[in-house]
Amino acid sequence: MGKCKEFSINLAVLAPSNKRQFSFGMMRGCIDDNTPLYAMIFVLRDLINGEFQDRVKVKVTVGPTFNDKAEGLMKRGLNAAQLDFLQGPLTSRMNRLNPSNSEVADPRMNQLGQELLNQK
Amino acid sequence: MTLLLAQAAIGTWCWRIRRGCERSLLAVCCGLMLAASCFAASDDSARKPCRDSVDSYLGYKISNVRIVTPLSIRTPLSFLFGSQKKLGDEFDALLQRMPVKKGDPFDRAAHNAAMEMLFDRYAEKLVSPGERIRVAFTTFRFEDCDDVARTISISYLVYSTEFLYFASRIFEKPGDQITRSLAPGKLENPDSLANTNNKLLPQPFAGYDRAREVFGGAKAAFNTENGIINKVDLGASGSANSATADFNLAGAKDFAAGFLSHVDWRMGYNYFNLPSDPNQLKAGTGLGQIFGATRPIGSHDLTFRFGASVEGGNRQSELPVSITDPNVAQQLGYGALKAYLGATANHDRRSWTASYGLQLSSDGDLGLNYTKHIFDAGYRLRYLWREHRPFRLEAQFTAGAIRTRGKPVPVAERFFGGNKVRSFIDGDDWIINTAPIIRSFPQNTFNLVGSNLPIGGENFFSANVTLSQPVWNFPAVPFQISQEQIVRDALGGQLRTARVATVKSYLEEEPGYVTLNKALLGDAAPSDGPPSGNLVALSQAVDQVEEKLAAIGRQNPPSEVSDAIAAVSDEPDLGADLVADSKDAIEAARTDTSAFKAKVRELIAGSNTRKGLIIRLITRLDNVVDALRRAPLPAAAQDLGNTVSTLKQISTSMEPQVAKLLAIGKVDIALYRPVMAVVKTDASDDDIDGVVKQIAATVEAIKKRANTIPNTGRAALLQPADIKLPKPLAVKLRDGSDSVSAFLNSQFTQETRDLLKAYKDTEDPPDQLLRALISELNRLISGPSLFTDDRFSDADLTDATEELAGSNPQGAALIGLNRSLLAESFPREISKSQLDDALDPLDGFVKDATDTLSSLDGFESSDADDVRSAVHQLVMGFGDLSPAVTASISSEVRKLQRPLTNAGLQTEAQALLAENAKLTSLQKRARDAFNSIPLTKLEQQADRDIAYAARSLDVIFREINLVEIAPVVTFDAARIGPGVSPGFGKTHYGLGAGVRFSIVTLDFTAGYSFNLNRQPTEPRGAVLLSMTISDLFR
Repeated sequence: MGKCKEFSINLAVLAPSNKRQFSFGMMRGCIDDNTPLYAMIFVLRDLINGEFQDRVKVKVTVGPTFNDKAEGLMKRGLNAAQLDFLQGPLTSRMNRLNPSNSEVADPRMNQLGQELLNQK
Repeated sequence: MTLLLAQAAIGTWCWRIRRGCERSLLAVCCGLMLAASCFAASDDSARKPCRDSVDSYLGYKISNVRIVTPLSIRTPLSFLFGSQKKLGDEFDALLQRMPVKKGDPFDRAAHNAAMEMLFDRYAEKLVSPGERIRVAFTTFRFEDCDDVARTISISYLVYSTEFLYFASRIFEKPGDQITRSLAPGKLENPDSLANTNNKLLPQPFAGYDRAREVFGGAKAAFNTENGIINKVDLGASGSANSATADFNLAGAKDFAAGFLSHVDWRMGYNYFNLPSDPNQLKAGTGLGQIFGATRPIGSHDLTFRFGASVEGGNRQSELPVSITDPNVAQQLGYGALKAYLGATANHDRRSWTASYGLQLSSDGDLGLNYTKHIFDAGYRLRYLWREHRPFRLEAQFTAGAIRTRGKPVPVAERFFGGNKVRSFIDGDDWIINTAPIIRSFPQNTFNLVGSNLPIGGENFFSANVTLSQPVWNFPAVPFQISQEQIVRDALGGQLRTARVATVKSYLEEEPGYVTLNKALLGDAAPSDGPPSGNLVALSQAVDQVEEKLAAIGRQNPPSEVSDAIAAVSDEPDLGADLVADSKDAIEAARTDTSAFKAKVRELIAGSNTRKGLIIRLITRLDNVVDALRRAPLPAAAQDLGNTVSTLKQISTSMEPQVAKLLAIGKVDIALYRPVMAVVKTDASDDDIDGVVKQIAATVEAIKKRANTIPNTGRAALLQPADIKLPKPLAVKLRDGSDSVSAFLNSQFTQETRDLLKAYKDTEDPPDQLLRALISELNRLISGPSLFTDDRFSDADLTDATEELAGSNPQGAALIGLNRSLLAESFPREISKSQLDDALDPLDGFVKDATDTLSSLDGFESSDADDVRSAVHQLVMGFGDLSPAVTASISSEVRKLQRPLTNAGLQTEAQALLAENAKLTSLQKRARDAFNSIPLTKLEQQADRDIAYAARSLDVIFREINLVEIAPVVTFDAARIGPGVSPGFGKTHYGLGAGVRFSIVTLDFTAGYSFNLNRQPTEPRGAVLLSMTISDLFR
């Protein structure tokens, strides 16, 4: 494995209908020179009353405990139940965290992350 | 930077051409070099080379922080990028907010936060409709690294097509705009770089043509959103022997739904006076026009375009010879009705266009003098034989004929050919060529139909081919990112997630969903009857629970009651505040349409890992009621119990509606049985699962044999390349923090131990230390077995290595054992062997396949979209952007044939090949079965949306270059007729060569085309000069 180097890439696409936009983003952060952390964001926006508004927004952070299931989730993509779980309990918990707590440090978030992997 | 080589190459080529008398090309070359200097990789300040390691600079003082974009660089072309100041201001504001500050010690957390800030900035950005696509790539580099003073500078690098889009719009010709967006639409953000409303946009231009010689001019446009007329544009150009001018008032309308996508209209006047050696062609025309386009139809984005124009004016020519043909007139009035119909279609990297135009013309009175028929067709191909080096083929065929009705036709209306396109309808975004294109003739000089008769033809055809192949490129996404397997795999995952999310959003527009949504939201007005099963009633009930619990708490109840109440606000195991979370979820469901389904599910249905919030709240409240009864506080228990009953009633009545809501759009899992019969079935091993297991077993067998293979196997001593991460290895061996490291350290010579002791973490190990470590480790590998149970108790040894350790190996097998012990104790730092490294990618893909296949166990009880994603990842993929796992396995098996054969493993290589053949066949069957699964209309629409996004990502990651140089070859064949003298009216051929310089999608082409079979009075050839936008994102 080579040295971890941070980067991010974002792609925003307007669908041929001109009424919908997708935005894909991927970011690699590094905990140290050899330990990557990945974050992915997907946003779907629809044209409503002349303005593009968010319809779906999904942000997933994978790592630093880069286990096989998390990597599998990143490669396979989320299913509908996982999307709902992200927008449901995970978002509820994130809204509870005060700024001094990190998502990574909060044990309940870790538990929710594990549950996310098991959603069917 | 290699871009300087581009400048040198262009300069050398220019010098050679100068000797061939085409001095004008020098001006073009200088322009290209200026453009290349725009993208010179760095500014001129000297840079000390810095290490890649971020850890090694922790604690260094930050001497400077910058945000750098291509437009940050000052060049002579800076004036074109009027947005530089705007971007500069924006990035200054961003720098103020960044956690990395000049003067602070460099800190990884702050650095990661800075990267995340840039990431979030571009994730939030909207795409302007005319832009179609936006890509942003950010990374960083260290600069000015001083290990003595312990200072560094950091530049955060941002590459975004936002800047390039604005730049390319300056050069954009109308004909290109229509292919970028069928409906440019409104640009909502007044500060957007791409917002051109209420701005006068002057565009100067200059050029050279052998006929017109050096010419210059300007165009100006003013766009506004209001009224029937929302654009005014005018332009003029001139040279010593030519002039053009045009003025137009235009309007447009976009349609949100229906067959038509876009209509625009225009009124105007245009004038031209152009040489047609030795003729001079003049025309003045007033016009009224309307054009339109349909929406893309079908999987190939078939789009129809149409237009019509009513025109009147005059046509003149100044022939130096007299014309005796009564059907030809030098000066005549002009009136015409023009109409056309055309179509375009795209598939992958190919596109087709075809158009037919009809012109009915008079000399200004109402009679019909002549008709013109035009047919124009084109084909574009980009063949990506190698990433970022697409071979491009552009082919065009045009033909036309004038049918007279016994009345004269003005000379200026006949067909004059050359190297410039003449549009069928001037001002139309859709360009239909109406004259023979032959690039070896200057504009309008392909005109002889007889000896001394340069009057153009009554009919023509032309066929043109352009070929180009990039020979140098700077990719938009650096190779070290785009070639990383995890990045490609993650892109596939993102696209699959996008598909699920898109289907979800379409489902939310379904009538059934909307009805249930309204019913569950409920009516805000309170009702007197029994509590309704909706969020309004639920909210009221939860509010009452909160009030009553607070009231009970104020009465200092016994500890059992307090504990039961505490468990409501801090749920054991799951840690939820059940009342507050329920209130938040209800509020979110009522106010956020996109979160409605998720929140309602969280409240009532729950998931397979936790019940709904309300169910859990009810359970905890029942415990409180029981505790109150035991306290005894019967009145409080009764009161709270009544509220809990209400809550139960509401929840019970909501459950069936929520279940219906969640079931909308559910696909029958039975539809996936045919594909699963190929992918994984209990009925036989002749499925993908079985073949993957066979491949995995063969790989394991190879690994086992590798223990005794020298050179490339494990029975080989360590080489420097086998130390993958020298720094952490050196640290471990120095510190001896685990039993293996401590043992190895104790076996090293004193000299090596001294070198290790002197080593500091802040930098990579020096060569002397690395050489010493490799020498020592090889000495130990060559010695007796290193294995003892205690020593390797913490190491994660494979079964094969443990088995080998217990078998008392000798000779090559002993070397293999010792090396494996070291490699498995330091898996990230030491390579097992070259053979293992070669097998790693296949191992990884087999593991991915195994994981995905195991997720399909018991698929009948899974959700269809879960099965679909797994099967898609396994057998479908997204082309070469993010290949299917089985395709990746096949590719790796083919790559391994030579290394395996060289290592003496021919039998295993053959076995893998045979298994691969089975896998390929099964993959094809699985793909056919997958593609046969019937899809709902919503799924089909979602697939079309995602396919476009996938194509765009494919172009970004595998094709597009920031800068590119490509030699170009052109071939033309053209004829005008009928010839009135012998030797005329024949087909002419032109062969040309040149170079194309591209900045993202903006192409500058320069070259020369030779006339292969010219007449004595015809030119030798003509300069090729063009500037075009290539639309890669169809």
